[in-house]
Amino acid sequence: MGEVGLYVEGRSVIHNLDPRVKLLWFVFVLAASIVCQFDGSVAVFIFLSLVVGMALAGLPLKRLLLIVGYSIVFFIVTILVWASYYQDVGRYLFTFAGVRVTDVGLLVGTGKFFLIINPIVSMLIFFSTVKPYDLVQVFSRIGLPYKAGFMLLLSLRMLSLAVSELRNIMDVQKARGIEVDSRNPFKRVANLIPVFVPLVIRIMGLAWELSITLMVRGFGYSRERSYAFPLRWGSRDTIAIILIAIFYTGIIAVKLAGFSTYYMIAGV
Amino acid sequence: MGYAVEVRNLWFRYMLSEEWVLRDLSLAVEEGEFIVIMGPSGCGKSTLLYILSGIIPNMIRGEVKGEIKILGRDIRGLKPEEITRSVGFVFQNPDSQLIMPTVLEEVVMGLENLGLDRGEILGRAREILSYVGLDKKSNMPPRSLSAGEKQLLAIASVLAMRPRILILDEPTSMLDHVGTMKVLSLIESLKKNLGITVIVVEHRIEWAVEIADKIAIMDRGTVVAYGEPSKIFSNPELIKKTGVRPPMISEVFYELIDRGVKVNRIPITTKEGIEELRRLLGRSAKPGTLT
Ligand SMILES: Nc1ncnc2c1ncn2[C@@H]1O[C@H](COP(=O)(O)OP(=O)(O)OP(=O)(O)O)[C@@H](O)[C@H]1O
Ligand SMILES: [Mg+2]
Repeated sequence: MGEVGLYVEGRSVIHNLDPRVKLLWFVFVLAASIVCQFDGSVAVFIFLSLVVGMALAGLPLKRLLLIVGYSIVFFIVTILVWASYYQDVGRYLFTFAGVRVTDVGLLVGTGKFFLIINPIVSMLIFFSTVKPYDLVQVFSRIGLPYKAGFMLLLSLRMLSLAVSELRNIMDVQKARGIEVDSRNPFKRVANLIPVFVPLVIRIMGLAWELSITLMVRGFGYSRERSYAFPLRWGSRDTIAIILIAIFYTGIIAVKLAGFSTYYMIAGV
Repeated sequence: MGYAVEVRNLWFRYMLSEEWVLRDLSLAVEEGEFIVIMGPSGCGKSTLLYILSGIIPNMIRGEVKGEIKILGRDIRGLKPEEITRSVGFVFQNPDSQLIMPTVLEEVVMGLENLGLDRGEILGRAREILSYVGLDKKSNMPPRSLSAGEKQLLAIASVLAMRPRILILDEPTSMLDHVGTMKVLSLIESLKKNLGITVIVVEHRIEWAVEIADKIAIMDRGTVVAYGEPSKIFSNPELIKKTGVRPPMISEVFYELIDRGVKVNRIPITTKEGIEELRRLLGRSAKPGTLT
């Protein structure tokens, strides 16, 4: 039974950072990506910093490749859309799928692409390296109700229970001779009914049982909750946040000052 | 000692339902007693437990009539958190009673909700985990435990909050034999070691007669028999009417009585059965032939 959730157990530098650092990191990435959204040649450095972050966290490269793989279509579409929008602006480079791609179109296209992908990778680092237990604390430490953080945890739990429930039901129905994985697509759809009806019933049951569990454990009775493993801000976190702030404000400042890697290289 | 639970003339029906699920039910449990509730499916056992643990009316609505006292106080005057603090509740499915990513975090969760300080939380958590034998698995995810161990963890997580009454609704019905044995022996030990009041719905009659101070038999929303196991099962007519399966050995004696054998008492445990059989055969059998 696999657990649904992104957290990867580890002892890396990134894992050991206070979750609040990683949250701020995300905010910086978002801000820098917004500033660089018209210039992929600068935004790519934000992306590279995140690749370094993933490597430091010891996260499987597979995760990154998965994201990049899934976003290739999105990448091409973004480029084409923005390139066609800027067909007549800037220097002509090449024609792709009938679209005149200019340097400006390409820079904007990649900038817009990174605007989406950078925050996603940053979130991925956050959720892969912050223990679910700490998630609840982060919420209450940044002034949000801890219940909100808990709901996140609970929905993950609910999802994994539902997945294993789904498997059980499929097994039972298969044993009864219902071809839940029939090759015939019509049969397959028809056979979803004996799977989904019991599943929905079970999920309602599970939701009910989970809420009993929460009540029995005194969840939500006091506004203040204590933590057996409180977050501790260390000097390591201060250093990390300074480095992060310098790097991304640097990018933001340089970009706002009109710098572009592409124009520097191309000498335009 | 006072009463842990005192229920008098309790009537209950679920919202939007015409039918009374509990009808004129009365039950008094003394502090420190161990009570096993039995009865056919649908007779209202779970409903009664929901009322005693505050799930009704906090989570399900319905109409309640009658008197309910928990540890001497009227339940209507208790805040939900006061009920939670004094009454622990454990139910069938271990999976939906575990939420946190590790065993230790699971036990700690309820204590954090109570707002206890850190040292107290960790102390209690370690203590209870070693009590149920899961201390070596503190850092493992609950999903790596066996079903029986999961249920031990669910019970531990509730016990850590130190309720004075523990209520369990068929805690072994989803477990295999090994898991069942582990959970039952933990529940037994609570009576001996912790002295808390235990109310459990459990169908294993042979276990119940050994361990229970009193057995309550429910039928159609009310308690039809309540008392010490030996008293309960000494009344074959009543037992047959309720549809509860008596201990095997008692059944043998009901049969003997039907056939005209005169017995002193109806045994409920194998040990008592052997003694009684020995006495019956005493004159005809040589000593030592029946041990
Ligand atoms: N939420 C509800 N709303 C309406 N009726 C309910 C609800 N829950 C239970 N009932 C009904 O109340 C009656 C008693 O149910 P209850 O679950 O208390 O029985 P039980 O003795 O615990 O049975 P089992 O041994 O099957 O667990 C049943 O007829 C049931 O259909
Ligand atoms: Mg029940």
